[in-house]
Amino acid sequence: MIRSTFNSWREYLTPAYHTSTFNTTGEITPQEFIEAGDYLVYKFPTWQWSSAPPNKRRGFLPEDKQYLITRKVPSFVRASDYLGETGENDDDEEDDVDEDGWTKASKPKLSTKKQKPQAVKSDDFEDIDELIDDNAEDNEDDDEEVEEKDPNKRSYDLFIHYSTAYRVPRMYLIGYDSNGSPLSPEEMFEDVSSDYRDKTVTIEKAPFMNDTTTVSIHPCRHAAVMKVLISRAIQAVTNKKKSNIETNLIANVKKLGLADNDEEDWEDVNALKESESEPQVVRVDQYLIIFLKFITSVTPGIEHDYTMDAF
Amino acid sequence: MSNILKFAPIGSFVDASFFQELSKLKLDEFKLDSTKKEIFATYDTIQLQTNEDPSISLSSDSFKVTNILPLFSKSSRVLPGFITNVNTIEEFKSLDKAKFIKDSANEIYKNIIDKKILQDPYLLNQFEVLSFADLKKFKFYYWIAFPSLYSQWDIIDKHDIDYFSIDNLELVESLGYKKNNVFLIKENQPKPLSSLHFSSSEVEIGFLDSSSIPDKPSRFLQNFLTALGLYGFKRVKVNIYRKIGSYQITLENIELDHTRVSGWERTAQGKLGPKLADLGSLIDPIKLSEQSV
Repeated sequence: MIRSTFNSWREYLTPAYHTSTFNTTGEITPQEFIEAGDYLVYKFPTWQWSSAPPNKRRGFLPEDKQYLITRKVPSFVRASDYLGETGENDDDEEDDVDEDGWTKASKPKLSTKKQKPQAVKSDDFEDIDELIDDNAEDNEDDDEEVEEKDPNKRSYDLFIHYSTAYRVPRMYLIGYDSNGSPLSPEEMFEDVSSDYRDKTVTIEKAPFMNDTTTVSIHPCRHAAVMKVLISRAIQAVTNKKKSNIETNLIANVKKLGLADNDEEDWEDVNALKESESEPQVVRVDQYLIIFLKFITSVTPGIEHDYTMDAF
Repeated sequence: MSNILKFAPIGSFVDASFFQELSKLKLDEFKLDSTKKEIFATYDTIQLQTNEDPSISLSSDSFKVTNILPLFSKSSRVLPGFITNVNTIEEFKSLDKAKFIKDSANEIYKNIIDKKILQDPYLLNQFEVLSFADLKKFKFYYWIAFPSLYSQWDIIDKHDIDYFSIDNLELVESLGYKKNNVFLIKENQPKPLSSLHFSSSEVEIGFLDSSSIPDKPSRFLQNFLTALGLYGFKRVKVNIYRKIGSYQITLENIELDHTRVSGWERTAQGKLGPKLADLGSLIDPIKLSEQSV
């Protein structure tokens, strides 16, 4: 039922696209970025398209679809804790260029005394404690239970922008501590797994906003990674479907065109239609779902909802 | 068993660009002027994470009151507010917080009594930022208040209703309500507050909730309920619209005291106190050059 609604919606939305190379190069065109974004927003309504300020707008994207955003995504555990890292094993950091020839991005100074509670920051804590004012408002018969928040809870606004240089989506993050105050880049780096921390995570002004500093995952390797993930997904799906298709193919070929089964997966239909060529088991509009799965490996503690059975 | 309606308190997310803009304005425009300046915040309704407290977002755009940018989504809303940026930490400390929030609440009260809120429900809620910017250390002390006029309501009935359809959301917007989250419901249709009839003691309203906490609508609802109480309504049906789990509650007013004001945001530790944003590493030009490659 949902699927059929989606099918008609997808038919309506999907224009003929030009040379799609996403499953051979891992790259997508702006048009494909929009399709994939529409699909993401459809599947996960916490993601939304957003417009950009007029001076930041890019003409090749629709005005109201400049970038994708989801807000207040919770993160309770730092990547360094999540993966049981000590945070110290990469201390041999004097070289600025790693073995692959990648220039190391800014060296995040991870606090070795990690996980000190957010609020207890040096001498400021005393200052700020002195400013507490229990008489700031009327709360005579205190019927309202006061809730304490988990001091480890952070919230992230996530943005996906299209990188014209690399022809891939690019992720930007803005983090807040449990008080809703901005995190410093060093603090945000704590939520990036160490495999990526030194290599592809940078501090950037978001190109689609006025003066907002973010942490960004540099897209220089996205295409290669996406290519691998896509081919793996294709492999997995083909293996799963192969038997179905092979056995059904003969049986169905005679009654092809008859609506023998309303519930039939449209992927199968596609596969049948294109059985001479590579079966199109991963569609370009699923690209961002795969991309988010990839991002999850970069920022494992940020709990955005990427878990869906997209295939 | 108590069936008193409880609200989810409103929090704030302030990004670094807000403080960067504040520093700029402090140096170039405000200087020692610590009078109230008009700003705005945005908040989201309906499109929320699960179990999300209601909250507002502030950024550098918050200062551009004459040029409010297109909102994040159809269900986003604008909240008017003011910033009072004082010049010293002592001033911040000694300022009478209770009076500060009451003065602000009193403006809302006047707009209720003058019935201005029925023409422009935008006036029902506002926020106040009290701040001190330590520009030498790039530290910002700030405390945000959402003045809330007290009224207490007993829930006498509650049941689930259908999600407010996009059609209806568009209808609300066609009433010119892009900025607002409350409206009347008549014959299952959203109607502007200006069509409120005072002859009855019962009324049905719609509320686009910015909370996804079970059974706790956002505190933004309270001022409207207090207003209805002040207008003499004894019983209110409220349709609380959420993406998941919209519901209707029927409320009876049991207490009304508009002079009792609350709404200072609490810290993560649950204390009535300000917050501190330390932007040293973000905007200190020396540190920034260290970080960039």
